[in-house]
Amino acid sequence: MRTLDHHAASSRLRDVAPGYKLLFALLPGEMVLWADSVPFSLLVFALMSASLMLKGGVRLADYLRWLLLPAGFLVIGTAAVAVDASASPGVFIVSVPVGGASIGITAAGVAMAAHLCFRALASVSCLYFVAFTTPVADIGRAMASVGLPPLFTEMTLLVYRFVFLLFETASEMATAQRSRLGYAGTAASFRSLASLASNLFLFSARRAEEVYVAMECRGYDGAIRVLASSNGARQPSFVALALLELTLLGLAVAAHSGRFF
Amino acid sequence: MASPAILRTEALRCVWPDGTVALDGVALSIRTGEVTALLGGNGAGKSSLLLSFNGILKPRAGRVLLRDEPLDYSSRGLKSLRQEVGIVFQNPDAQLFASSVYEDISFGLCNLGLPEPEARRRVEAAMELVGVAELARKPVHHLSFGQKKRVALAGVLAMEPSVLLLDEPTAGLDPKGADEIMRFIRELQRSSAMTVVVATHDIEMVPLFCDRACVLDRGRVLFEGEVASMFEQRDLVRRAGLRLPRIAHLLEILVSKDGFALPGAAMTIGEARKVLNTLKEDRKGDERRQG
Repeated sequence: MRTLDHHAASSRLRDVAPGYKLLFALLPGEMVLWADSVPFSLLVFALMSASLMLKGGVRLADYLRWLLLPAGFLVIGTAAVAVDASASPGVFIVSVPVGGASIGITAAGVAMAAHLCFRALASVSCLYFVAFTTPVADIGRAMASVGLPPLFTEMTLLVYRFVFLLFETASEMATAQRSRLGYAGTAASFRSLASLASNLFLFSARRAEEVYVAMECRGYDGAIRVLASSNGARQPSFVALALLELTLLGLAVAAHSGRFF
Repeated sequence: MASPAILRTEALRCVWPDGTVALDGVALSIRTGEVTALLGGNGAGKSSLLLSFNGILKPRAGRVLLRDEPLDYSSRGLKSLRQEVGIVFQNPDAQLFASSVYEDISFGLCNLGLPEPEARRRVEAAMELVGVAELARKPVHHLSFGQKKRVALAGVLAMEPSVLLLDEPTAGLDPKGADEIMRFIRELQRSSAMTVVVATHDIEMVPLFCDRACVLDRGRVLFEGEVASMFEQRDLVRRAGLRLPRIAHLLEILVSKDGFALPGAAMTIGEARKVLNTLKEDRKGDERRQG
């Protein structure tokens, strides 16, 4: 499976200015959380999914596969919300008597679970829109441009770069261990995992030192300054975005206050 | 022709923090506009020498001179030193830290404080030069090893140093990639009169791409001079944990074990051809004289 990182790097929406994409996805995300309405959540979910597939060029199969993971969590998490306990068995749709009380599913519980489920799904789709179209470096730049401290963005980007390096090294070490039967039994597995972790720590320390020396060689003086490749950040019409957001906001207010959905 | 030395060391002694003596009284000079090979086995002190040329490793005793001026280890001195002397490390993963190729190459230029248009011009020129222009926006971790090596090289070349230090530039590359990168470096040195120092184990490429060589062994200089005269001192080469190029070794065996009388020595395929062709001509001449 391609990583989200690969999807972002090859997205058709990659060149759109990151601030624009963040506004497009994160504002509706906030509205979904606030409005707490199933149809509104579905609307936002459909909007984000459609933009990703039609504009961003993500294939349906890839998108569904990526949705499977959070959906699994959602089903398990919200199922627990639907379950309630009460002394009077009348409120339940289905119930099991346990001692003096009953445990079962109430209509209110089901409604709440549905609300929660769709809210979460819509929020996930908003975050996926950002993740599928915007490489981490661009998000970092957007963070810097809204005035987050440079130390924070530098740390984020360095961590991002070295997570991949660490992951690569860890999987190489694990392969080497497996090839010598390092995970052949429970005891051996624990031993191998422990030595993998401690070696990884040493590796990280050494690598940090190497990177620092290499950066010094190129004149590092405490602040990471780089130039972003500038070719053609597309700035779509801000008016259209504002109109879309206002429409959504109107719908969200209607859905929230009227509760007619 | 004795070109003046751009880098020189005098009785240089460097000790690592753990007490290992990396360099023990090294005195050598790197000539302007030439490609110098730094040879030696593992742990001979090649990388330490490169680091001390760049001011990363400070000498315990002795000194390093750039254009006859001792290195200035103040932060301002180091900044101007590193602009002139660039180093490309063996492992590109230790050098590339930014999240995209373009950003990484621009890092050194931003540190030099160049105005943005000039920095962008240089980034693009460097990417063009090493052939990674189409990777500009790729994240570094999506690149192959060979591509990473090229990007690391571009990041240093963009700073337009007068001296380029390369630590094992061909290690880990396939034969074609190794050949390409050495050809590229030779071309660069010829076209821009750059001084290049290559620390390497790759003995085959030394006669092909280097003018001079310096052999290190356990922190000391065993040999410094022309490549051809280095390979004449076979015992010295072997003492340093190195070997002759395969072709030279073959000719050596032909002479010593099989009684060939060869008109000259050879280190490369081209030279060996010349030697064997001369031999053929001589034979023909002999036959004609007899017949």
